[in-house]
Amino acid sequence: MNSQKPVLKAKAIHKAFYNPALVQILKGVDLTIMCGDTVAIMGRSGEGKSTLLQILGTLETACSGYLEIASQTVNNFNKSKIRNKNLAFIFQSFHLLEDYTALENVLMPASIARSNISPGSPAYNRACQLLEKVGLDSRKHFNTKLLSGGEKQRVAIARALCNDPDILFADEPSGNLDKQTSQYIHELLLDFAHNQGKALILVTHDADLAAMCSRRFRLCEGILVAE
Amino acid sequence: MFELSVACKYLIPRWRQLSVSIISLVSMLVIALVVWLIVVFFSVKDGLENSWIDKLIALTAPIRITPTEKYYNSFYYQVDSISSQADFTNKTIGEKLLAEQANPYNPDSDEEPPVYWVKPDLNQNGDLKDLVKDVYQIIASSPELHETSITDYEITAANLKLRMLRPYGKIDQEHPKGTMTQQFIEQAAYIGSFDPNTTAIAKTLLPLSPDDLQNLQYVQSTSADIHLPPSSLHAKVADDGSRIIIPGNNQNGEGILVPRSYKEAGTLVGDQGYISYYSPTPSAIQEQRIPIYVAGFYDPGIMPIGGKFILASHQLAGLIRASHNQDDTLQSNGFNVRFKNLADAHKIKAALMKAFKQQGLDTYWNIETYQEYEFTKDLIQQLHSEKNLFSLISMVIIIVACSNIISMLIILVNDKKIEIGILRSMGATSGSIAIIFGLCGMVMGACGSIIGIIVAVITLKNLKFLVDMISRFQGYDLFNPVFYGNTLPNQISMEVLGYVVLATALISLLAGIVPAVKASLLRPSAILRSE
Repeated sequence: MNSQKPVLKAKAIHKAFYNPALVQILKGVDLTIMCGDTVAIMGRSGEGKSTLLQILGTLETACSGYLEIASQTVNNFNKSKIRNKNLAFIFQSFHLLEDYTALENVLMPASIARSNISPGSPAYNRACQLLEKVGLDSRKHFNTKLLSGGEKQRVAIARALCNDPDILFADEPSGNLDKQTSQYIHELLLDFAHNQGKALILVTHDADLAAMCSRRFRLCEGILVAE
Repeated sequence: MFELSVACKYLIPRWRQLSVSIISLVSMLVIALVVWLIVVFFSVKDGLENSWIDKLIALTAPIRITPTEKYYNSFYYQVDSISSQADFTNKTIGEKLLAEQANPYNPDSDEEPPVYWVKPDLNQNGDLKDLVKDVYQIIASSPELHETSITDYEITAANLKLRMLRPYGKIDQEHPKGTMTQQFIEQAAYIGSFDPNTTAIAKTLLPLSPDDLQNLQYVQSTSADIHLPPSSLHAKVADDGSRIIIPGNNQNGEGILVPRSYKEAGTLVGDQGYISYYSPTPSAIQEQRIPIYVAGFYDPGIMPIGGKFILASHQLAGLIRASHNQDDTLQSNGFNVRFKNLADAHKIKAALMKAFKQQGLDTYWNIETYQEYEFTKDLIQQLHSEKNLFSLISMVIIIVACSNIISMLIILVNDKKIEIGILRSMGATSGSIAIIFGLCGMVMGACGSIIGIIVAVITLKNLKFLVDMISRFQGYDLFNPVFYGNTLPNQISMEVLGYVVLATALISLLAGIVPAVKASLLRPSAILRSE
């Protein structure tokens, strides 16, 4: 993809809900992400960082605004396809499928895309390569319940890259990990973003991690401000 | 397929989901139980129904062709009564078949036909149509009917009297054959001819009892044909399996088959007697007697007049019938049309009707399948109605059994909420999520029905053992042999299996819709955030 071409364009994103009174979470967020951008979104707890990430990742619907991903305007009919082909998520609590092995987890996005995932297929080989890259080649047939937190997050990263997405969304990816493992995960994520030309949008409280990103934003009272 | 692989994964029982696993197992077992019940019930019902229909057809035919009133009013039928060549006597269908010419009338010597008679029905050559032989001609020449056979039948009425000689007391020097007692059975009966060249009737023959064999030995010992072995006196299938042999024309008289009600009344194979009928003679109406003996018993099945219906040779039935007044003859003779596959009955009837119409015979003959016979129509309709009713009831039972799946799937959806959110975040559509849970329901229904079918097949293979066990337990027969025969017939119907498998899969799928829709409507953001 052309590095000058935006992979995500968000305009005037508003989000509000009743709790029980009307609470305005996002008050017109504008954001354009280019291919290869690494973006950190910071802010206090409850400011709506995760909500913004989920809206940008099409998991949540904005009250109003415009969202375009990989040159496609997001609507109710193409959300799932965009999520499968162009986006990937890495969550704080990993969210791996518990009854599956590490390899099966990594292959799941390809399976949803109806790709051939039988041994020897391109998707299968790619999943094995990704697990090798995150250092889990020897544990690919382990049930994910048996993996440590850091290993689980590495499986999540490999899974996120399975369908070769344009944008990676990470919501406090090291929130549940110790400092050393966090450091490893941060490096892994940023390496993938740089080496494979993926855009990375992460929500974090970690100033060091934010400092490693090419762009930093702070969400304050529903407004996204560049730092 | 992604959805199927996920659904199968969800259905594997796990300790972590013990409650879901137990509910799933119970739901599946309930479906299996219902399927077992339905398959066993319908198999026995179909078995009984088919055995009744088999017996009915063995005693009649899959299709019967009978003369209409127009036939009896036709010149072809009436002309015999004024023709010297026909001895001025109306003829039965069998006699017409043997007649040398269709029109025996000689205008030079015979009286003039009455003016009110219908005009002769002539063929293209100007000759009188042979309404009987033309029927044979059609069957022989039509390619659609090449696998059918046709024979004429006669039904008449006469009086049957049987003498039952039974040994009584001790055998000693003074009474080397014991003392004999005698009883009589006398009944007005229908005498029907049967075609010995079909073995279908063998299905209805009852096996010989030890008492029958003993009685045959006695008959043989007192017979003038002393050289005849007892085995040559009873009805049986020929060694080559091509026909039924009913011995006749020996010193004991003509062999006849009587219904099982006679056996229950104490008659034995070998009992002798006579058939009497009244025949006009030049001086008066005189009683005529034909000696007969019981050559075997048959099971009339569901035939309402079965208890009074005696089967005899074509010659015997024809002889009695020929002596009767022929005015009231509708339905009492005609043709039996036989073929291998009963399911072809309607197709063959349609082919016959078409051919008869082309030959201009359709108004002279009435064609009926076994489902349309006057004496069985109501019963067969009732059997069909019962089948429809039981199908409806079984559908309701399946619905009730499958409704368990709804509650199980709702629990499963709640249990798998996070996985639903994860799959949605990876791009699974709400439709895919709905399909996963719909498939869970369908797979459970299908597994339940397969288990039920397997158990049903095992049950049916051991049905006799089970029935005997229950009979012993309750102290009397579970199924009365008078109605159901000595062994309960059963026949696993592919139709029933297909119906049960499809119905359970479909209803399970429908039962899965509510939980599936609930699962598909879950918002992934809400699920993932709550974690």
